[in-house]
Amino acid sequence: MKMLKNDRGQSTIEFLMSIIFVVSIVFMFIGMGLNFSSGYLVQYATFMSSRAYLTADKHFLAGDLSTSDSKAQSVARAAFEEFDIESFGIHRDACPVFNEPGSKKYEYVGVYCDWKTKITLLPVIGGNQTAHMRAESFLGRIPTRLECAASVCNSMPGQESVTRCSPGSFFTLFDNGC
Amino acid sequence: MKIKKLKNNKGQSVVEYVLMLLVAVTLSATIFNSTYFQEIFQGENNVFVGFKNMMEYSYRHARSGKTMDNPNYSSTYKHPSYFNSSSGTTRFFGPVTSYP
Repeated sequence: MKMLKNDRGQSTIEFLMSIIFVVSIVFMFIGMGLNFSSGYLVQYATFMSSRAYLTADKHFLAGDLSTSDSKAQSVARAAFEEFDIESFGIHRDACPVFNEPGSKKYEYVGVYCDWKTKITLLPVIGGNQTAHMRAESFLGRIPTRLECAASVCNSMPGQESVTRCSPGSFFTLFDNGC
Repeated sequence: MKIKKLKNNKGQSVVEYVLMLLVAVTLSATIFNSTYFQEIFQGENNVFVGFKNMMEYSYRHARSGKTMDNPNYSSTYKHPSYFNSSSGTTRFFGPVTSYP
């Protein structure tokens, strides 16, 4: 009772009340900064994956064309997995997802990644809101050697009775860029 | 004895503090329970939802906006990063005059 009759400790109580507010604001900006960093990391991983998907090839001149695309996906997936994004607290929804040539519009061929994060660290300041983010990298995909070989053979005009690209035949070649 | 206690100003600051606290708590409760506050901070379209939508849009498109679409990347899909649907023009720049 005697302790209540003086104002000692008032500044401590006021400090504690104000520090809670200040720390909340600081944590809000720290959370936003971490989200920016995570966003850059996922975007970079998606870009590197898309870069691998652009050029990966089986380098076989025989076989099914789709096997080259599946090979490219596995190479691109490995390029994405090089980045340990889970250690940054990133929750992947679907990553990496491939837009394959032929199935999608040409300019959207590439890789995208869906991930989610809390918008702030504190539940009382928007932390219960989950943002669903999407990183996209549509670099396309160059023709595989198999596709090039097929198109080169198709560019050899000649007798239809002669099997195209068969040895012992002479053809006029047109440069198609492969 | 009781009257003697009332004849001094001991405890005045405590009473004033309690009264002020009551006013502050009443005001806070009124504000927190008001419809306007609920809409801003707790409704379906509260300020944090708006912030979330802005984050999602600006991260994907590198420009300001709030309305995310549901991309299917089909042949008819127009990517908001590439195409300005409000003006009906592309976001890519090109030559002012056509190439001869």
